[in-house]
This record gives sequence, structure tokens and C-alpha cells, in this order.
Amino acid sequence: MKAALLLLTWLGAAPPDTVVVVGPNESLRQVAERTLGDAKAAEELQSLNGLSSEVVAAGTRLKVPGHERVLAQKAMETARTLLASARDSNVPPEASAHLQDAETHFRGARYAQASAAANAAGKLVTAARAPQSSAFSVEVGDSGDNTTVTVKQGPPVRVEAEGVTQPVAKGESVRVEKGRPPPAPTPLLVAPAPAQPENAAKLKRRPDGDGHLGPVKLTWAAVSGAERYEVEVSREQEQRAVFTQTVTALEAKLPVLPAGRYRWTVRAQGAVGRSEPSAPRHFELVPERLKLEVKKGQWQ
Amino acid sequence: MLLVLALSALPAGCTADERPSAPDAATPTPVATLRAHLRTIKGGVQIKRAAADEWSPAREGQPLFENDKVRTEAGAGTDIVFSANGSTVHLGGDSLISIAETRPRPGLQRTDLTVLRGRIDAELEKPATQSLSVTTPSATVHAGREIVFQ
Repeated sequence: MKAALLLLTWLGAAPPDTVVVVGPNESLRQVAERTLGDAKAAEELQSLNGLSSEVVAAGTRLKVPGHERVLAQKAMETARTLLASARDSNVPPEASAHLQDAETHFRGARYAQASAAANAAGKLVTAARAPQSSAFSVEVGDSGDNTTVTVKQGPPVRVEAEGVTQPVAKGESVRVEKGRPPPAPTPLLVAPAPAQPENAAKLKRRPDGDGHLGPVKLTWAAVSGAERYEVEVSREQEQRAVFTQTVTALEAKLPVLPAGRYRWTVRAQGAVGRSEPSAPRHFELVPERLKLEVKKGQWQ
Repeated sequence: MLLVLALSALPAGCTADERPSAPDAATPTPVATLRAHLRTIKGGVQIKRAAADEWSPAREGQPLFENDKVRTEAGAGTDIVFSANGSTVHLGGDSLISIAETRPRPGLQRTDLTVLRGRIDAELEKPATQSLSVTTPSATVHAGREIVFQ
């Protein structure tokens, strides 16, 4: 029994990354082709080994990913297939965003995160295909003189007042004043679409005296009916926000931040409530290297 | 005899103090029907039985009968799970609801709720077979299967 448990533990443990030696005149792309069967995996090798460029000297010992990469690849393939086969169904845009995240993590050799993001995409597609439950809210105003009905999911609900029935579909809201029939429903605020920086952008900034980097400007597209936008920035590996701001413009300027990888989302706020957060965007802040120029002269 | 019948109709696990209204043997009243129970109570949540004058603190799993009222303090909340079909209503903070009287029809599932103040978030897992009617001072909301009385 104990032996069986040990065997299971051994089988369950992720095998360690293997190490290869760069051959003479061999490029990183060639190493990737030789070891992983894909020249495009050079970017992964670069990230995994913390290399600043694709140039590697012969004899360099490089880590090559193991089983985790295979699992991540399978999870991403499954998510891609599910998304491709669900093109006509009502799949939320977050599913594509999760898959995009998975691909970003994969290229950065963060295979566990890639698997998690791909699985999240797959779950969203599966949930969208399943028969939809109905979810809605009913809110009575402070004085009791009005009722707001909001449908978040599922088939339309029917709102009746003064002998008039108004269907309210998913993503719509209606406010009924006491003694009046229900008006036509209005659409809920949609999540804003982030614009800049591009997803997974590497932003080079000159460090300040404390080594912090900036500025970074985040921009997004306007949402009809939005009065304000709520921006949230967090470290990629952490849930806690490092920066939140509510603005009326379509941009937010971040304060200087330590170097590292960050994710950000933006929500719209308006009279009909608050939208869901946008699909997350990622960026990496790296210190800009100072270019040294030595002019020709007597000291050269 | 009527008292015995009435008490035997109470749901299992319902303690003496949870009985909605012990009918008087001399003037029999209809027995209140179990409609729902409370789940995931957070913060100050109180309940007032149909025949009671006082509010009392709500307890996890407490049954709700027709015409019972539930209120929440600001920041508090609770789920109300309806017995007939398992549909769930989350009662938000600073809210007041009443479990309405309903008359089930054969082959139809129905739950009724009156929101007097505040906000509820309702969920029907199978809207094709379930229904939920929510009444407020200014409107009535019908979700799920359309109910047609014949």
C-alpha cells in the first residue's frame, strides 16, 4: 500500500525540466527545434532561462520545459477547439481573453498559469453551451415609489404594471414608477474594451530615484451610457489591487510602479449601474537601459 | 382532533417555537404552508411570523411559511430557498420581504414573494420548468415558465 502511494506520488510529481547544451553555431531557434520540435518555442526558452536575447553561446546549458508544457499545450488545444466549435453560440468574450492570456503565459514559459487560463476559457464555453439558468434582480426604491428589474442571465422576465406587460431580456433593465406602466427596457452598461497598451506589451521606462518605473497611460473605448470608468491594476500573480481610480476620461495615468508584470481591467459606471470588468490586459514594466555613446576623440 | 391533525401536518424538524400559528381548537384556522427556508445568514436578519407581533432573530435553516416577513439590516443578507422547486432568492441589505400566499395548481410549480423594500437577486436553475413571481408596490415580475390558470 505504502509502495503504491509512493508510486502515485512519484507519478503525480511534475518531472523536472531537462537541461541541454547549446551546440557550436546553434541558435536558440535551432535548440528549440531540436528539443521541443518547434522553432517558435525559442521565445519560451528565452523566458525560461532568463535570457535577454536569442543569442546564446555554444556550450551554454539551457533548461528545457518538461511535462508542464505538454499539459499546458493540451489545455490550450482543448480550449481552442471548444471556442472554434462554439462560434455561433453565446460565448462570453472573456473566454477568448482567457485563451489569449493562456497563450501569453505559454510564450513566457509560465505553463501552470497557461493551463489555468486555458481551462478557465474552456469552462466558460462549456457553461455558455449548458442550458441557461435565469438570474435577475428586483430593487425597490427607498420611497417604494419605483422598482428596477435587471435581467443578468437566461430567458426574458415579464414585468407587469397597470395592466401592461413588458418583457425584459438578458442584459436589459427597466425602472417602473408606481402607478405607471413599465417603459421600454434599456440595455445594461457593457464592459469597456481596453485599447492601449496592447496585451502583453513590454513597456520600457526610465527608473526614478527609487527604481520605480513610469508613467504608463491606459486607454479604452467609450461605452454608451457610461458616466465614469473604474480602473484597477494589480500585480499579475496577486489578486490585491495596487492601483484603483475612477475617472471620467477614457484614460488613466498610472503612478510610477516597481518593475514587473501587471494586469488591469476597467469597468463602466452609469445611471443604470456598473458594468462587468473588461477582459484583463497584461503589461510588463522593464527598466530602460541607458544608451552610452562615446564620441570619437582623444579619450576613445 | 383538528389540533392533532394540524400539528401532524407541520414539517419534520420544525420545533414548537417555529410553528407559524397554533390553531385555536375553538376557532380553527387554516394551517400555514411551508414555503421556504433561510440559508447563509449574514449579519442582522430578523423574521416575523404571520401571526406574531414581534420580530425575532433569524436562524440558519429556519422555515418560512405563507405571510411570514423577513428583514435585513444594512450590510446584512440571507438566501431564501423555496421548497417547491429549489429556486433561490438572495435578500440584500436593508430589505424587507414577505412570503406571499400561493395556491399551487396541479402540474405547475410556483413561488410568490413580495418585496416591500430593498433588493433581491433571484435565480431559477431550470426556468423552463420553474417559475417565480415577485410583487413590489409598483410592479409584478414573472420569471420562468409562464403560468396560465384555467
